[in-house]
Amino acid sequence: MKETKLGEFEEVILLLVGILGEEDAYSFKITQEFKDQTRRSVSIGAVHSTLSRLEDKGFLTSEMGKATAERGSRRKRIYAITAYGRKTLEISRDFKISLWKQFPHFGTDFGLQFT
Amino acid sequence: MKNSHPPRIANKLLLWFLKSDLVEEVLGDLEEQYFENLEKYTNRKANWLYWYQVLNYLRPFAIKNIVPVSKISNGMFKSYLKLSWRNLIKQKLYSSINIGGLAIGLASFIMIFFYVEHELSYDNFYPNEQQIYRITQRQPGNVYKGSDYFAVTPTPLASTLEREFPEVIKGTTINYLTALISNEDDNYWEEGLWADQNYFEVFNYPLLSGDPQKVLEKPYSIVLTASFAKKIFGNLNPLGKELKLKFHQDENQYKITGLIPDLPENSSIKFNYIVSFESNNHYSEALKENSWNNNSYFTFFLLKEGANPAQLEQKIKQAGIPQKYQTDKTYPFKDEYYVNSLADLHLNMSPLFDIGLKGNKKYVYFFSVIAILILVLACINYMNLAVARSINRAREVGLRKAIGAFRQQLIVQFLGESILITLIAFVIALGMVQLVIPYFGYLIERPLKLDLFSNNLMLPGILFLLFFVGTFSGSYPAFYLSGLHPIKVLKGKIDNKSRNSNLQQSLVIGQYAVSIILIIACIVIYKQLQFIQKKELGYNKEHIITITVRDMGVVNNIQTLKNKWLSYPNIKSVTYSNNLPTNISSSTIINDDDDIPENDLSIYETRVDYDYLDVYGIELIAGRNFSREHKSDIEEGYLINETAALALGWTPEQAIGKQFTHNGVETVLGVVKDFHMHSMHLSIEPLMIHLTKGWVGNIAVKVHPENLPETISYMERNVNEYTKYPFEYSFLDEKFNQLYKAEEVLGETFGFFTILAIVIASMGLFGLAAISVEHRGKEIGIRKVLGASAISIVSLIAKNFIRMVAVAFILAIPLAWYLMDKWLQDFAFRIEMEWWIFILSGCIVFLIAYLTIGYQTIKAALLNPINRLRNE
Repeated sequence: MKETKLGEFEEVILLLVGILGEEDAYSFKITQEFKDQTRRSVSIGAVHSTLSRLEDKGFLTSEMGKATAERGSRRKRIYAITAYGRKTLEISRDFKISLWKQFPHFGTDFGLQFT
Repeated sequence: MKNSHPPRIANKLLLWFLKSDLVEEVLGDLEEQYFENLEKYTNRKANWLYWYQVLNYLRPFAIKNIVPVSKISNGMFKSYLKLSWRNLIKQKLYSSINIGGLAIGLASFIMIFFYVEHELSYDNFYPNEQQIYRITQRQPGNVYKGSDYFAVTPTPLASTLEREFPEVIKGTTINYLTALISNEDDNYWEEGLWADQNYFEVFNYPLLSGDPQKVLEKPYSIVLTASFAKKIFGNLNPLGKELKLKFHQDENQYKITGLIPDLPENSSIKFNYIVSFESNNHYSEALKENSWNNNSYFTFFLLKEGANPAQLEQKIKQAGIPQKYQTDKTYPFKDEYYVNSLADLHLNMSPLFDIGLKGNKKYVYFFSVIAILILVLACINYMNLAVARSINRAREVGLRKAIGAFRQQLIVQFLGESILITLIAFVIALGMVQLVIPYFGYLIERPLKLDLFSNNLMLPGILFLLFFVGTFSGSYPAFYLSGLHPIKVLKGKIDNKSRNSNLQQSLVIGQYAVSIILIIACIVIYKQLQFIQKKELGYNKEHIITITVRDMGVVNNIQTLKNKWLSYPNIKSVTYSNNLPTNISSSTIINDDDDIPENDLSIYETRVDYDYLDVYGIELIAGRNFSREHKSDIEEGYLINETAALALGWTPEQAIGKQFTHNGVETVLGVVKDFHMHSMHLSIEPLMIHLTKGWVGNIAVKVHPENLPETISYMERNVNEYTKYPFEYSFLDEKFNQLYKAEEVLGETFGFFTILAIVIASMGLFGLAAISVEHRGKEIGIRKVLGASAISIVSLIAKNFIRMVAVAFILAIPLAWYLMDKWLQDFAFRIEMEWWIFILSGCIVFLIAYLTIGYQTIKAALLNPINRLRNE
């Protein structure tokens, strides 16, 4: 198996960073999006901890955003996915698809044949 | 918009632990979340959620390096470990005191923890345990042995509850029985249970075979536990086979319809078989007639999930149960029904005539407190010795600081050291528990064993305990030593007197105060037990063998047996009765003047034969005993005790010939001296004695103590001619001692833990004395050179310690007096706490303390001063 070094939770967070884009990819919004999409409850701290771990692994970069009038003019840390992160996500996806292809009955259910 | 802000304390906490470069973004994120929550929830909830978010930032990535872990390299850890180890090896005396004390403390704690856990786990194995409830009742005014709460209920109650209250899913009626079970020629005398067909729906207990809803449906069905089935049938399949059951006069064939696994140890209701209640005539008739006049059975039921038991209790009351069903209009009490959970059965309540094995809640508390005390004593030892030795360690601290150690590093070092010691102690403690727990379990009659995996919380709990004990006992040395000023220390200018010796002294005083309280408790318990043993009971309990009668066959031939035994040389006299004088259990109501219902007197009664007073040596103080010459005695002749005479307003002499109504008009023949017919917990109540015409519960035989086994087997042979039940005999003084079993267990366990506490406290004192002698070595040397005598040097050092013990003694006395006074309140007949008990315990402690420090001080006093003064 390929070593992607990505856990399930990490993978979801990484995808969410990509989805949210450069405006909203900061801890609070990512946490909200996670709750909305998965219906699982999670604390900001847990997400933040994962984000910083992903950054350590090189999947993400981050920088402080600009100060705005919101939230007591405190700046946000905006995360962005790196090329390496994107590549890792793709590898992970491809790997799963290749597994699904080997899974019995999957192909036939969709009228597809893999030989 | 609500004008609020995130809770300040939470923010403070966050700022305290959060890495400074994260503060801005995190505060921003959390605030945004907070204001969003404010829109959705109340202020209060938003605050709680903020706290939740803050606490969730307690993660390694976000926490400041409060302890500069990064600064402690692997090499440093190795060095700490090595140093800790060297310290342990070098200071053998202190190490063994520390480790030994902690091990004893931990072992006691773990052992008592297992006991408490076992007590709390009763009946928790039913999957639906949370939903199982039962009915108990109070009959206000119907006081029996000091209580008017009863566990028994009328027969139709279970079905009535089921019918009238939708939240009651199923109700079941049960009762215990002991029967003689025969399979062809094999007889088994075993405990079982009556239960109706709903039993397995309420007590959801998986069967090995058989349909839970059907196995008890038909009369004369029996369900066996696996081990009992194996005992009877070996490896044959018992299903469908028949067994003969005999109890009282009933004898019937029962068909085996099911098998259940053996009940776990923590089941309070224990049985080897269940018999369908329909086969019991009393039960089935009472059910058919809807008779509410008898309270004989236990009613359990399954409550709908989420239903409130307190509400059900109210609804039962409002529905007028049981009054609306009671047909006996002369019934004097207004019964109140209560809903109790199965979980409360073992520990939390003990109504009269209850089913199941009972625990003692007080003892659970008692032992928990002792466990914690002993552990704290052991931790105190560690603290004290570490502080006392701080002079030796201070140089190390000074040196470390001088070459650049941070205070935090030192704290980590010392805490690590104490946790290491705790770990070693824990391993030894486990060994001790393994050795001792079977005896402890035997003593308290619980099947305890050392099993660290019995409970999911056990391992984390133990880790937490070790961490806590290590940190707690290491805390003072860690924070004190690490705070020392390196220059002062290296110059040798550390003063060891002032503030830490104050702390040390109060800790020692605390230890000794606890020991003294425990000693006083031991003496008081011992004296009270002695008092009970020696107290004039009003009857003679020596050399009396009692034989339990279970069979009408014996009752019908009792005169023949008696006459035969009276001619046996080693039997002095024989009597029979339906109760033993140690425990007279039936009570009734009499009146000396029917026109005045207020004169009703609740009175205990027992039925006896002509020689009862004679065999038990009960003294007659007025009137005459029953006599065979007066034919009317058997119908209307009664003896009463002094208390009954007093309650009826007569002196013993006046009482003779007076009449009262019971079943008919009865006459008082004589008055007997009060005797203790219950345990000493209860005062002596009115009692009446009359002649038995039918049932006999016990035969009492007064024997010569010689050739007892022969006498017993002679009696056994005789009795067995009339019954198939096994021959059950016991000595009256044993029966008597059983009344105080709980106190005896308490006394023994208490004694055991008291010794442990004293050992730990003495170990600490021994260590402290040793250190004190070491520190004052030069002083002692100089004093000796200047001509001090050995005695004056001994008293010089001992003085301080003895003073501490004296203070502990003064502190302990009022507390001990208060606690033991409370314990004694449980007895209607009790000792006074005399002053000598306190003096004696004081003397014991002084003696132990003196012996402990004596060795060290005398060694110091006798040592040649040159050895002390030579090296500078």
